[in-house]
Formats: sequence, structure tokens, C-alpha cells
Amino acid sequence: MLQAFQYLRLAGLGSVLLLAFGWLEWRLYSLQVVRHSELEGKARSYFEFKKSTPSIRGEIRDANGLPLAMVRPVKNIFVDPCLLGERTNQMAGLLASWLQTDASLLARTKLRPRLLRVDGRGREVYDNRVCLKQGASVEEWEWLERRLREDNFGFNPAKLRTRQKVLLERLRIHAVYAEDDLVRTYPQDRLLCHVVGRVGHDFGAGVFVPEWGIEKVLNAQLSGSPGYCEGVRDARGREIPGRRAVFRKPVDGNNVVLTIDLGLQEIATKELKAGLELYGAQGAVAIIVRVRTGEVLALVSLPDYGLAPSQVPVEAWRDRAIQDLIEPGSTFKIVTYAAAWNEGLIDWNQPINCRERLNIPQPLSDSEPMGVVQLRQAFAKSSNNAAAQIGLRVGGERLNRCIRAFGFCEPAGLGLEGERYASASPVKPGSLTSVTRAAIGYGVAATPLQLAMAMSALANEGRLMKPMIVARIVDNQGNVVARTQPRCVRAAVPPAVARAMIEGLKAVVSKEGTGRLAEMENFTAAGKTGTARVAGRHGYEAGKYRGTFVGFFPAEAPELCILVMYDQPRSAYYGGQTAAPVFRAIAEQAASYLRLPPKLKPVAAFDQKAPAALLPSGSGL
Amino acid sequence: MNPTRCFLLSSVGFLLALGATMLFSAGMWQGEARFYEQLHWMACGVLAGLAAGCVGPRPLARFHLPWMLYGLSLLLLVLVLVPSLAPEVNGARRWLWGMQPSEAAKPALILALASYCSKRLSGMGDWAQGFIRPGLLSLPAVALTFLEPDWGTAILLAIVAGVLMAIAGTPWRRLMLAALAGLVLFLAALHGDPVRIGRFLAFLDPERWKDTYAWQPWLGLLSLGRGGWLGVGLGKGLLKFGFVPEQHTDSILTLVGEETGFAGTSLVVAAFMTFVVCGLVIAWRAPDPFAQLLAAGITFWIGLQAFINIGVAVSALPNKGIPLPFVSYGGSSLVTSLACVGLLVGIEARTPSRSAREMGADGSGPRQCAGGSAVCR
Repeated sequence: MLQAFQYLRLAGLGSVLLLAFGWLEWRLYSLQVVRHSELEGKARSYFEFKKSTPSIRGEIRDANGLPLAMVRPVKNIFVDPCLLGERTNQMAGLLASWLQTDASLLARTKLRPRLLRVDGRGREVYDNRVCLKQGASVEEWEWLERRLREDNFGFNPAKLRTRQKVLLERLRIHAVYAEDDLVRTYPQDRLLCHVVGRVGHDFGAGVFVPEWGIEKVLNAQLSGSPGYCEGVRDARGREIPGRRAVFRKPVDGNNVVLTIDLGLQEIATKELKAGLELYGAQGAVAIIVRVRTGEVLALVSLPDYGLAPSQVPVEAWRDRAIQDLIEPGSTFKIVTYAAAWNEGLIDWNQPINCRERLNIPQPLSDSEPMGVVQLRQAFAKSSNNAAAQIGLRVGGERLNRCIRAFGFCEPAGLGLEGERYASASPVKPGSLTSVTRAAIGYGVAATPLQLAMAMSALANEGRLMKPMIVARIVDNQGNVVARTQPRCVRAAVPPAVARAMIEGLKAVVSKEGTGRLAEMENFTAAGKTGTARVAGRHGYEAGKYRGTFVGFFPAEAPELCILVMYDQPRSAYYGGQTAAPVFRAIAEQAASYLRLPPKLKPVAAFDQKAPAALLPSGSGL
Repeated sequence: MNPTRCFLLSSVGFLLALGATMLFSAGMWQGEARFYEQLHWMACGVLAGLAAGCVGPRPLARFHLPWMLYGLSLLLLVLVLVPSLAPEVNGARRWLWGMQPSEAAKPALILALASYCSKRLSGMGDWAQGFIRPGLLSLPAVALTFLEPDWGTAILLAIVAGVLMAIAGTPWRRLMLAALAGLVLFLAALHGDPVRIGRFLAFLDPERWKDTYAWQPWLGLLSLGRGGWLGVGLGKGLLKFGFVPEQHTDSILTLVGEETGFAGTSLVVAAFMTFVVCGLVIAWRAPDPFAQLLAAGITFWIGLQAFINIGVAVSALPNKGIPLPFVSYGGSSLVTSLACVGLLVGIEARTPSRSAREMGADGSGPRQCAGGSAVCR
């Protein structure tokens, strides 16, 4: 048997072991209970799984459903240089013929393995994701994939050793790979660039950042909401099924349908551009509005820009139709005359002396001074003197009220960003100069769109409409989510006044008016010319004018209101000479595009010989 | 059944059941094959334990059996170093024909030492008999496992041998001398190898080295820490999905900690403490010195192995790959340790009950009969 001291040692060592277990128990307590929340938080980063799926951005379409902005799936093509081995040169040759670059340069730069870092365990980490091409089309990638699969990379496929087989497979399949991406494309390129706007593109994420235009204003509708899920992953990064805490499906964006008609937009742009080159103007605006509803059918601002807006001059960025606050000049006389008609102060047939001396500091002169003429003629010839006299008759307060009624002191409300307006009443109380200047369209500020809407109000029985650019918003299944209804802002003038004004406006577009070049062949047009001096930093600048024509047709039942404006034309500067012919060209084509019924013309006398001449000569009748 | 045996067996049973449960849970990631294998090895182990219990300690001391078994295990340890026989796994040769010879070396060494010391109990104070010879006896097993390399098992073997010699009566100062020599050798082996030093010392601040040396300890700590008081629930652990390396073997306690919390790990510690107490009681009461030393050796082996494993899991000790007895996956370890539990029960069964001992003290009957009849009954 053991002796006493041996029993003692047994007991002693046993107690030491038991005490050691007690110590472990204390360590366990401090880890599991005391540090529980700390360690739990730190553990989360290991198994947490988060993933977001991009949603498909909605399209922007014109009134007929033609796409103006759409999302296109593309491929970003990458190469893993580490897999090329000794066949780098063969791969470089193949890729260079595709990218049309120098093979040796490619082999030296992109196809050379690049050391990124050395990780904590001493392993070298190389860049295995070198981008060869961004935004390649799917077809291009398929073509490249096929070329890679068929290439032998200098091996003889008939006799391959196992190691070579592996290398060949790597070269063919794994070395060059593609990742899906989405890009935003604008099939109409320059057309409507200001209205549609642009988005910025987050490379590889399928996420778009709206920058301006409809893309920005209606981003909430277009973008949809990306899908998101949160769950648990394993050590290799794969999600473990059945443990999702959060899961949202991606909701695709809605499509925005504009009131813009691409056909009309194209007509307006083509004619406006032709005029721009002919007159050597700095910029130009054309607006087509459907009179009854206020739908904007075309909105052109020149100069414009294409798909790479970073390279265009700043001048082109501005949407002149809504962002340029200008002095309208003579076109503004429609407001003066409408105010006078509204107050019952004038009649088209009453005589007026266009050489009347006005008691104001700076006298007004006409370019073609007339004597005593009918008011209709004075309006048609755009006499400044007559307009000033009528402005004085109306008076500052009543003129101000009418200017407000036509919507010049509030934003037109198109809904695009950057729309400008001058809110203050233009006519200073008690200042005769101010009244006479405002009466002829100086000292007042308006955007081209405001002018077009004011003219549309006269054509629409005095009712000022709110301009519309978005017709409706539809989802992917074609269901209408929201629809914009035509909205009347207010009755600017009573219908009788509007009808009377149309009489005067018709006279402008006639043989004796300033707008004679706007006269249409098959329709009666009505409108008003305007030629305004351009104000610079130090007053009006010599030789710089802005020529405008704003009118509508057919005058009997107005359908379209068209505004054309040229900024600082060089060859000719009167609105009647520059803008009016372009109005006519646009209006003629728009009428045939929309198939508007032309006015009936007196039938020519029936010519007996004509039918025979039309027949083929050898018909033997 | 007598309370010692009852507590011993229930603690082992609890640990076995827990191990199987945790392997099943880990099987969500690793596949269920290991769970069924473990059940299979458990059955083998129970059979081996029953056999060892029936045979008892006495026959083991005869016919130079301890020496033969020890020699056999040394032979296996030599064979495991032959490259053509044993594949290198994770930079070490530990596997021979699907088993780990170092697992068999543990009970063999204990058996040999117990046999040697029990015959020279009075001479243990002697330099040659009490220190040099038993030292040289255990040296080959320690050295061969060290060469595999399996430093953890080598150190465990050395400590168990030292404890056995201490109980047998080797003076403390000589053991201290041996420990000092071992420490010097160990430091010499570490010297000039910054990776090994880094791995060895990383346990002091696992968070600092979490991306390099202390990847496994740090994730083990996170896994334990997630558990809290009661754990996240059986089967609901998240760090078992490939994050904690070796979670089915050496790091199984971290899974226990994550899924059953402090309550579960405390029960594990309590079970091992129960095992140690029972083992010590058996050793205390055993009928002869060989059985006493054998029981003490087995108890300290299992207890120390559990202590080192749990110590590694809580980063109280340097990271060493040692399985948790009865719980970790592993056939060799499970079968040998269960066989040794059977041996412990066998010793206990051959111990005369208190009343019988009192009678024996009066000289009214042979001791063995009482114990023997307990088994034969």
C-alpha cells in the first residue's frame, strides 16, 4: 500500500487540478457573461450577409411611346493576369485584335500580374480583376467568348498533357470574364437633351445618380427601389438558406410618358437649326404648345449637346425656353392691347396718331413712322408710339393686373428644374416712363415659355393653361399610375376680348403686318412679332437684338401655339424676318404631321382639258 | 450501484451525449457522416470499456503485459514517422492506418509507469531507481510524439509521467529539475522561429493577432462570447459554418459555449471535476499500489487533457491541438479513454466496500474476494 506522504501527494495534486478547473470556470464566466455583448458584436461582422439587388430604372417615352431614355444591359469585361502563365503573349495578341490596340503594350500593362498587397498570413495578393472594357454590348462579349473558346493559344489540342489541359481551360474560360452591368442610353441623343436630362452612372453597381431634367425631377418614380436582403453567410461567403432576417424584392421603376411628340420635336429642331445657321444666331428657342390643354409638344433650346455633356460649352447646358428671363419686346404688346380691350378703351377701327408727342423723358420712335392710322394697322405694324399711348390710357395699375393675369409674375409651372420668373410687378406706380416701357415689352421679364403660354391663353378664349410636359406615369405592366390632367390657371381675359385680340393678331400675319412672312398656305395664322434689344452689363448693346415670333393656327379654331426666338441673329434682326419664316416652316409641317384639316379654298374653275392631259397618251380612249 | 461509480459513469455519459449532440449540430456544415462515425466509435469504446472493466487491473500487471503494450505503442509511434506509411496532414505526421498512435501511447505509458513504480515504491527516493529509470522509461514516448510534431500531446505525456512519479514518491526537487530541463529544451526548440513564437504567444492577446496567428483562438472566443448565459440555442450557432477551424475536434467546447452558453460550459467543467474527484476516490481506495497508481494516472491524464483543452478554448493557454476527452470527434481518443474509464470502474469494483475493509482490518477475510464477488454477482 501507499504510504501517508504518497496519499498526501495524491490529494494535493488532485486539489491543484480541481483548483485549475475552478480557474477555467472563472475565465469562462468572464468571457461568456461579462464580455458577452462585446464579443457578440464583434462576431457579427464574420457571419453577417448583406446584399442589394439593383432595380431596373424606368423608361422615359414620348407621347407615342417611343423611348427617350432607357436601360441597356451591358458587360464589363475583365481579365485575371495570374491565369495567363507563359501564354500572356498569345492572349495579348487575341485581345489586342479585339480592342484594336498594340499587343505588346497590352502584355506589358494590363496583362502583367500586379501585386496589390501582402496579407497578414504572408500571402501575396494579386489583382485578378483588371478591367479591359466597360459597357461592352452583350453581342460583343458573346463574340469574344466564342473566339476565346476556339483559340488554341499555341497548344496542339490533339496531344495535351494534363497540366496543359488545365492551363488551356483556364485561358479559354476563366482568364477573361464578364460581369453584368446596366447603362442608361438616350436613343434620341441630342433631341430633348434639356428636357430628358442625364444620369450619372455608378460603374458596376447598376445604380444611377440623376443629375438634371426629367431624370432628376421624377427620379423617385423612375428609380424604383432596389432589393435588399440581410441574412447569415458561411465562411466562404455563401448565404445560408432559411436565415433571412430582412428581404425586400427589387421594385422596378415606373415609365414616364411625356407630352412631347418626337415627330414635332424633330420638325421644330430641324427648322430651328436651319434658321440658326442661316442667321448666324447665338441661340434659339422653339416651343410648340397644344392650345386647348397646355401640353408642350416640342421644346427646343439651341445650342444643345449630345451624350457626352462634359465636353460641350456651358452655353449649351441652359434650357433657354424656361431658364432665360428676357425682355420680350413687341410680343408683349398683346398684353397691353388685351388690357385695353378688357377695359373697353379701344376699338380696332379707331384712328390713332402714331406721331403723338408723349410727355415722357425719353421719346419713343418707330422704325417706319406712320401718321394717323387705324389702330388695327398700328398694331399690325407694331407701332411703339401707339402701344405707349394705349399703355398710358390703361394706366399702371390696370396694366400690372393684366400682366399678372397672363401669368408673367409666377412660374409657368412646367415642372422642370431651374424655371425662372420675376415676381415683382413690372410697372412702377406713378411712373409714366415705366408704363410706356412696359407697354412695349421693355422693363418686364418673361421666359419664352411664359410668352408662349400667354399667347395660348388668347387662342384659348382667354383661359391661361398650366403647361404640361408629363402626360402620365405607367408601370411595367402598362397600368397608369398617375395622369396629368389639363389645368386652367385662370381666365386671363374674357372670351370676347380674346376673340377681338385674334382679329388684331390675324392682321399682323397679313400683307400689311410685320409678320407677313409667317403667313401659311392652307391655314390662317395669327401671331405677333417682336424685336427686342439685348441688355448687357452697361445698358442695351448696340447691334444686338432678339427676334421673336409667337403665334398660333388655325386662327378660327386654334390648335397649336408656336414660339420661335433667335438670340442675336447677325444677318437680319427683325423678328418678322428671322423668326416668322421659321414659324411658318414649323407650322406647315406640324399641320401635315398632325393631319389638321386645311381651310377650304375657293375651287378653281374646272378645266376641260386637264383630265385628258392626265391620261396616258396611248390609252386609245 | 455505489455512488462513486454512479457519479463517474454519469459524468462520462453526460459528456458522451453532449459530444454526440454537438457533432450533430456541427454536421449542419460538415455533413452528418462524422456524427454516425462517432456513434460507431462510441459503441466500440463502450465495448472496450466493458471488457477492461471485466478484466480488471490485475491481469494487466502479469506476464510483462505493460511492457509489451508500451513497446507496441512505441513501435507505432516510430512507424508514424515513416513518410511512406503516414501521410502528412497540416504539417505533421499523426495518423497511421486511420488512428493516432499517440492516443494509444497515453494509457500505455501510464500502465508501464504504474507497473514500474508499484514494484519500487520504497526505492523512489533513490536517484537511479526513482528518477533516472522512470525518466528514461517515459522519454521515448514523449520524444517520439514531440517529433511528429505533436507538442501538445508530448507535453501532456510529460506532465502525466511527472505526476505519476510524484505520487509514487520521487522527490520534488528532482522533478523540478526535469521540468526545468524540459523548459530549456522547449525554449531551444522555439528559438529562432518567429512564426512558432508568434503562435505560441498569440493567446495572450488574441484580438491583436486575430488575422494571423490567433485566427482560431479569436474565433473560438467570439463563439464562446456569443453564448451568454444560456446560449443561442441548440443547432442555432452561426460560427460553426466554417469560421472556427477544427470545431468538431479540438475546438468543440466553443460550439458548446455558443449553443448552450455559460450553463453548458459550466456543466462540462463540473462533469470533468466530478470525474477527477471520482477517479481520485477510486485511486485512494484501490486495493493495491499498481491499481492505485493506474487509477491516479488515468484520472490525471483525462483531467489534465480536459484542462488543457478548455484552457486553450478560453485562451488561458497557448493554442495546442488536444481533443476534449469524450466530447471531441475522434475514434482513437474515444476508444482509449473509454477503455480507461472501464478500467477505473473495474478497479472500483474490485475495491472492498467500507464494511468489508473494516472486516479486512480485523483480519477476517481476504480483500480480493469481496471485490471479486462484487463483479461476479
